[in-house]
Amino acid sequence: MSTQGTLRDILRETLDIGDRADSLADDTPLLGNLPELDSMAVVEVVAGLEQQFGITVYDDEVDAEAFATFGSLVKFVEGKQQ
Amino acid sequence: MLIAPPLAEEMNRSRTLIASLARDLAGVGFETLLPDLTGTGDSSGLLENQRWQHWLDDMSFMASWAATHCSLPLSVLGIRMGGLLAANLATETPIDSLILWHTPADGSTWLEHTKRQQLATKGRALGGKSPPGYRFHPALETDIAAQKLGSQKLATEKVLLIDRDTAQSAAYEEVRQVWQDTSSVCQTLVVSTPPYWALEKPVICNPLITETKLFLTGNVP
Repeated sequence: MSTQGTLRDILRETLDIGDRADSLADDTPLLGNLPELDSMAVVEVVAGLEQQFGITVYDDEVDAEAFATFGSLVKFVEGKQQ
Repeated sequence: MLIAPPLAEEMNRSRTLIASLARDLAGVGFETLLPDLTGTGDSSGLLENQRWQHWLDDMSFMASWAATHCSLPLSVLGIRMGGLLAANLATETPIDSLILWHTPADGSTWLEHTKRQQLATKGRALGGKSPPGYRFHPALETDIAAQKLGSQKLATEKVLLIDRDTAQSAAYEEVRQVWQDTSSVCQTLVVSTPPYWALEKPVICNPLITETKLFLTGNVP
């Protein structure tokens, strides 16, 4: 599955947003837009990213930039995989 | 059934699910006890004065109270960090079934996550590792970091560890092997659910409730 697809599933399952995950586009804002995505949920999403993608997210990378949009989160994950 | 609750905001976010579980268990003859630990919820005391030992004492008190006020046998459900309180209780009190929901195998992992919550909230660490909006005594943070699943010598017939994914599978398997030596049944189970303790909107996880009920009523999964 593509990074987008896996990320969509992680957000779907972690935030319990069902079909709303399917309409996430690159420019869809995440932080400040998805009401489910508060600080506690962000930490669970990060744990999901680490587990599903086999990456390590450092504390100083948990910030608004990576989580600004769906597209920025995809870029963040792809950057960690290289 | 006595519940050892999650800590801080995780408790608030788990309440609806716990209530749903309790109603379901009532249907099969179980009374459920859900205490507010000292310094939390409606209980007396200040959170910032609490130590891990105070909460262990709370659980011991609840188990004694249950022995005189409720029908036996006593089962205990530990939810998230409550699982480490429950495991400790299970070393001093014979317990029929011990069930752990999503308990970190290592307390220091939970503290790392609360530190990340601070970063996600404020963009920087606030110092210490208390969950945002809550103030733990530094000694409590030390106590929590020292908690490890598997270090407890259980006096429990049946043990079930449930997680929502395989992130802790290796750690849980180590714990299972240790506890299998003293319990007749010790199992681990992955039940795919949202992280109810982290979501503001109530989440009802029926598969989680079903597996818990099956285990308690003697139908080992």
